[in-house]
Amino acid sequence: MARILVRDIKKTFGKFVALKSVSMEVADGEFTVLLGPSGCGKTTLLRIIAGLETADRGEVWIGERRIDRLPPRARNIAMVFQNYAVFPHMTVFDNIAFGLRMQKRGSEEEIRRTVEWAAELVHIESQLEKYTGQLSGGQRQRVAVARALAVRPQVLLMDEPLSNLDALLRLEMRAELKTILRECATTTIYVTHDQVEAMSLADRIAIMHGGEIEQYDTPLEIYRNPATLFCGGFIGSPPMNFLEAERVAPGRYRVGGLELEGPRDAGPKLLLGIRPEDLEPVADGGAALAGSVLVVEPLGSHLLATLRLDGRLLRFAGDADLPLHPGETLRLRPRADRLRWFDPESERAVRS
Amino acid sequence: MRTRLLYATLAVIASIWVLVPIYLLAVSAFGGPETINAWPKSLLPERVSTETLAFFFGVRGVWNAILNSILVAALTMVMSILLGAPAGYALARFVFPGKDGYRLLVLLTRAFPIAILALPLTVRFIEIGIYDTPLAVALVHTALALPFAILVSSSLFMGVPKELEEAAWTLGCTRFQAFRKVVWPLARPGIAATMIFAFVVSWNEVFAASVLTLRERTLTAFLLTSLNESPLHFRFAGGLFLIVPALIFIFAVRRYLFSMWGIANR
Repeated sequence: MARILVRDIKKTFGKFVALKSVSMEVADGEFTVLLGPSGCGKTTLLRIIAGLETADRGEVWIGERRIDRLPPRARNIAMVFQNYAVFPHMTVFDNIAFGLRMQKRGSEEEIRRTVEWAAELVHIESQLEKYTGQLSGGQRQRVAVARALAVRPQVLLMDEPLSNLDALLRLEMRAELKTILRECATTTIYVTHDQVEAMSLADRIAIMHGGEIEQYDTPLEIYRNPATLFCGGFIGSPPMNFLEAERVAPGRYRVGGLELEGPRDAGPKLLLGIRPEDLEPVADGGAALAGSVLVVEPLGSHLLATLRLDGRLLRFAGDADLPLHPGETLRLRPRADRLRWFDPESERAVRS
Repeated sequence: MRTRLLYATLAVIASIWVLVPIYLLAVSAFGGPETINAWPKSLLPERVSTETLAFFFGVRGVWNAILNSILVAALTMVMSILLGAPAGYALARFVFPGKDGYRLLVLLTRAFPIAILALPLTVRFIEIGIYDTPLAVALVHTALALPFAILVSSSLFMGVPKELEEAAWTLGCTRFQAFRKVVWPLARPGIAATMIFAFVVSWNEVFAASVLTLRERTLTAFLLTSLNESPLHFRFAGGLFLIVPALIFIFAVRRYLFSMWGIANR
């Protein structure tokens, strides 16, 4: 167990800049998720920490040790790969024991005990004698996790470990992973492009976009206070709504038919960010955002509606029993404490 | 349905095209001297005798030639895999400037006709004192087999996912250990096939072997030089003994040869 410190990492592949200048710190025992669309550099960052890729510049520290010049085997890490990467010519037992044997961790007897401990942790203790070719995808990924945990790494690195599993199995494995990893309390960096996965697993999420970390915070904080337009649009399903706002007086902005309290020291044009569930239907005839309902999606737990408002689409999430029909006009008002403002030029949040 | 019939017909024709000469060769080799000169030919062997084959193996120099052939082919096999497998690994795993050019260059070595190289090679081999030795022939055969060894082994190594190797590194292996523990066991059957292919290339090669040897003939070279002055049944027996090992080996490794052609298409 140890903290991870990444300082000013830059990486280019030919002309493509994969990482611009990335710095982050993961606390001891913390579970950090690197989240972003494909090509954002999240896997590259993970592979640099693992030592499978060399950064152009920058430092990587694990605990009090600078490791960016060390080969992967000397870094005291373990990695779980997207396509499992279990060794097909070995039994499950030999797979899990592989790292222990290579690093000469004790006698065969001690290794056997560690293997059994790891196998039990991921519930494959009954499969130890099988070859990995006989296992299903989910079981193979369990073997890969056990193999990584067996060496008791200081840092566990996971590269989209669930994305090759089918949807149902992914849900099951996600919950199980969370239990297993909490039990081990290993510092973990986990790469995914699935925001639900990130929200449900992470202590902290680093949102990556275009080779940079745009925001590094707890899931709820990112959800509530996205630092950039990208973060607001990437986290949350459906994503945050963005509406154009025009200043009418210092600290007052007009959005659609509404005048709202905004930041005092900001430009004449801003974007208002509002979550679909932070919009409330207005019963009376007061000022509101009035849009015509295009689509209604009754999801049981709640209801999603897509509205057209001044030629733009607006998503609204409300009570499941709300009597809404396409073609109707719906009048909405955002919750005053949930207004988030963004500068359309810099795409960054403006604190009010 | 119709296309299947067409394919089946073509396959039968191709098989007959290949198998009939081999069959006639076998009938003649096992039939004894009389069958060979008999006319009309019967398709079924009237009697089976090992007389012809016994005569063939009894000729002076045949055994020496066979041993030379085996020695040369074995040397070719070992050298082409020792040189070819690392090159194939590099092609499969590393990105380096001129990689595509290198791949092409490897194939280009086959573009030089042996006939042009024969004279300079002979002169050079005499200079360094290895003319008329199995080693000299094996060197040339290695040059012939190497492009295949490189390209086939590169496709074999490409077939072993890179992540397996990377996982081994993160679990405590050096590059070499990861290769030995993970890549090698998975690529081994294919490597064996590549070696057998190199063996067959050498076993069948006749021109370089004839030019570069005088007394230490390989079987092909020996048969070529003694063909004109030997009786017909001797030629049949020699021919049969030449093609049978090659056929068996190629049949055994046919699966891997497809993977080689697969990469040629890429």
